[in-house]
Amino acid sequence: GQNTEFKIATLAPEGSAWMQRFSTAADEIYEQTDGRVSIRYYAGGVMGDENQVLQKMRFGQLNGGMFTASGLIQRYAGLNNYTIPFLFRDAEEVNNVRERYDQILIDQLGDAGLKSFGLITGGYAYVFSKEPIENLQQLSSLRVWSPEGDPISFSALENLDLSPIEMPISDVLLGLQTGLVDIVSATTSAALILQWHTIVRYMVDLPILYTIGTLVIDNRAFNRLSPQDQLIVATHLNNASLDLDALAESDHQQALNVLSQFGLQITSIDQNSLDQWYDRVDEGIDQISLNRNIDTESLESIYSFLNEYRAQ
Amino acid sequence: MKLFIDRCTALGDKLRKAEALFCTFLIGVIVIIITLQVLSRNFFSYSIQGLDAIVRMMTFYIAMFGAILATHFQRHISIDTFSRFASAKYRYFLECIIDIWCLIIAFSLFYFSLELVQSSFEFGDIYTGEISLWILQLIIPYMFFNHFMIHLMNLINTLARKK
Amino acid sequence: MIFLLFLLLFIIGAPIYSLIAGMTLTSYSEAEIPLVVIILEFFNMSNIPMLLALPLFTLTGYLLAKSEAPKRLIYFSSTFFKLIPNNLIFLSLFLAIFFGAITGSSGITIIAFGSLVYSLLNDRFSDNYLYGFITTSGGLGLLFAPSLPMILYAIIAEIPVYDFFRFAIIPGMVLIVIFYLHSIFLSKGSIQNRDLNIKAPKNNKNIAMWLEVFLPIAVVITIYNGLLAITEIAAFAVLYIFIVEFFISKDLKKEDLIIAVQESMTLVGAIFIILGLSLASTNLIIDQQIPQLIFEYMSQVVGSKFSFFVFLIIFLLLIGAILDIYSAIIIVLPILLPLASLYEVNSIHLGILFILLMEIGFITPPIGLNLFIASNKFQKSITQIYISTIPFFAILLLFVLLVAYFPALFLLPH
Ligand code: NA
Ligand code: NA
Repeated sequence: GQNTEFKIATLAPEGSAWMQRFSTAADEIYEQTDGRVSIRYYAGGVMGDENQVLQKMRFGQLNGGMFTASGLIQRYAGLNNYTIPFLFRDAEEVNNVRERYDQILIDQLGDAGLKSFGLITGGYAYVFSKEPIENLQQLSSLRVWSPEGDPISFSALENLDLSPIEMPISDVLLGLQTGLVDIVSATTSAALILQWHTIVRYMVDLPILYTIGTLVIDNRAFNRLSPQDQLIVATHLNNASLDLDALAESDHQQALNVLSQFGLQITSIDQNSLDQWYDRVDEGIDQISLNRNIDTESLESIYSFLNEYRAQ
Repeated sequence: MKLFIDRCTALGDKLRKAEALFCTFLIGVIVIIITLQVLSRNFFSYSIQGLDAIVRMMTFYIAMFGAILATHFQRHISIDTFSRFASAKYRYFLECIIDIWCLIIAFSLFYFSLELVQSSFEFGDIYTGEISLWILQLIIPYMFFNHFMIHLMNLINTLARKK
Repeated sequence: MIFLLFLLLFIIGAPIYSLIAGMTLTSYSEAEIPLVVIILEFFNMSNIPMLLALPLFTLTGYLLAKSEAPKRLIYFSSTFFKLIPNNLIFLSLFLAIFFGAITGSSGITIIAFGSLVYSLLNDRFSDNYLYGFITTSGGLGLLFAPSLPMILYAIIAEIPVYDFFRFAIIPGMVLIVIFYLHSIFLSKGSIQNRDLNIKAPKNNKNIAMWLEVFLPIAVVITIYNGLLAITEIAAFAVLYIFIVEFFISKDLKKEDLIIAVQESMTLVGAIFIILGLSLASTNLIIDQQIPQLIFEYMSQVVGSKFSFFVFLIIFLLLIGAILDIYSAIIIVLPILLPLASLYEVNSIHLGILFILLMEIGFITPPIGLNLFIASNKFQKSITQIYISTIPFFAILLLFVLLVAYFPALFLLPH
């Protein structure tokens, strides 16, 4: 039959762990299909932000992409449920929920026209600040960065009575420098890459949200392959996703070491504040689930599953 | 025929005036919105969500009206060395060619912008949580259609001048 | 064949946007990308965060130039900076660099201050010198904090952004001094400041003068305090100058506002339509991985650090002619960095060359954006603008060669 080339775009930089692992997968696929299937990656965001990639997929210029949960909202919002701030309180909860829900979300993505090859976490996002933060009251007077075009983060932050300031990620470093924002949040690896450590001095030792992403290929393109080739592609991409999913914890430790070498200090928040916080999250969850960008049904399902688990 | 062309030209002139006025209005609104945003952020530590996106869209509208004005006043960027040395007869000929060329381009872009609007409509795309994207995108076919009409009128007028 | 058609249309004066559109339409169909993606990319212009700054700074510039502000600035500068030779050039350079640095775009600077700088200097310099000077000088600001291209470069090259700013100060200053000395050589008449016939502004006009002078200071204060973001400064600048010129100096009347809006938005529209279609052509350039192809071809001939710089300069001049500075950094830098490290070129050194060469790209014919902007702004033929920038092109290129081969002269030791 005819040779197929998948054009896949990502924000992940050239040379990053994601790119390296998926490039290896592409090589394996090319070999095992005798050159019938090849993958061309566009790394480092050269194809634009995730919305732009989705649009280019719609018109067929691109066939797939590696997305973060919020980047997929336009096509499928369910994945974003994992990333609601303070949804998970420990790794145990994450493991239980993912065991139960990953496949459900992947199937729903499939119904939305996107073939996912497994969910990959980027680890937890933490809070970084210029001043040490120890309790909740301190936060109310500070300006918190909220990523532009991410309504979930914005309303979640508002629910916590914080003052979110919307800003594209490219402006954050300058915003921190000038004081337009005081508090930012990201995974430790992202904070390192974006050079926030040159300005922020403190990190709160409290994972505020769980990040998740996935590599997807448009069903229209994927289904053009013969069943055997589909199997080869799926196997290698699934394996790559599994490997990367397991990488997050060690990445975090590595980044944390480097950040500490740059003088980053880690503060912890008092238990009292934390309890207050979790209460507020529980109260606000109904409000959040009303948001049009939230897949209400699956959020409610995950949340009641979590409540059952916590009651045990 | 002549009456029709005159009417079209008059309508075009009126539209250009309205567009310039609308641009002024939009700039005023942008300045007010930004002032409010700055005040609320600095005094109440509160930023209104999605405001940047709305302001950017207004800017895009200003740019599109500006592009129509540039076509209307023939202020588009081009090189003019050659036509400057051309004799009147040739210049007339060149103007016709350029108008025909621009007609074709404007029409093609008009056609494909309708395609984009249609796709946004079918997929029900939303801009910053509230507004239907396809309505906002209508400005693009509007702009290219006006380009098309302006060049068409120019062409007809140039040809009429010859007679 | 089709290329000849475009060339012919270009020569007879078809609008540049129509040619970019024509080329984009044909090359998209050749690459089998749906043509609707052209419009999609065009519409993506509405996502560019700095978009707003362009029309607002343009309008501010028009209002300033239409009022008597230039006269007042000349008076101010020749009264209070008497001792600096060619103090008006100094003032113009200051304005250009300042706005280049905060907007991250030399194009905006041409539009906002082109007329002002022109009227400040036009009886001391030839038109040709001025067009070249104005088209080029905004770019000098890109080497100073908080230049956005530098931040983007630092993030992608993984170098500390403040180190990058610090190291760029010396080459940036040297370049300013070169521009300044060059201007002294070329200024007509004596180096001494002329006696001006302009009378001291009185009453309201005097207040207006101080308010106008205060604008850049206000910008510095608000931006480094975190009070305002850059697009917000653009909005406040319009409001501020609107109040000064309409209500304090009363140089301008109500009718002037709509005319100023119409004229400035005509210019903005002419530029944005090119910008939007360039986004579409950039998308194709990325899709077909053209920078990678040029790079692969050219890197075959590189064998030493010496030839690497020759390669770098030619490569980036080519890239600068087809891509804007931000796309260039995102697309080209990741493929350039490994080769640079192979020849032990330090990333800060590379970065300064990169920014400088992109800046030259803005004034490289046939498609340097600043050339188009200046041509439209001054209503001069683009060939005249090409010619006017040649000496500046030469200065910048010589400077790039110096920085490339004698970095010790310009870079602080580590
Ligand atoms: Na937004
Ligand atoms: Na360029």
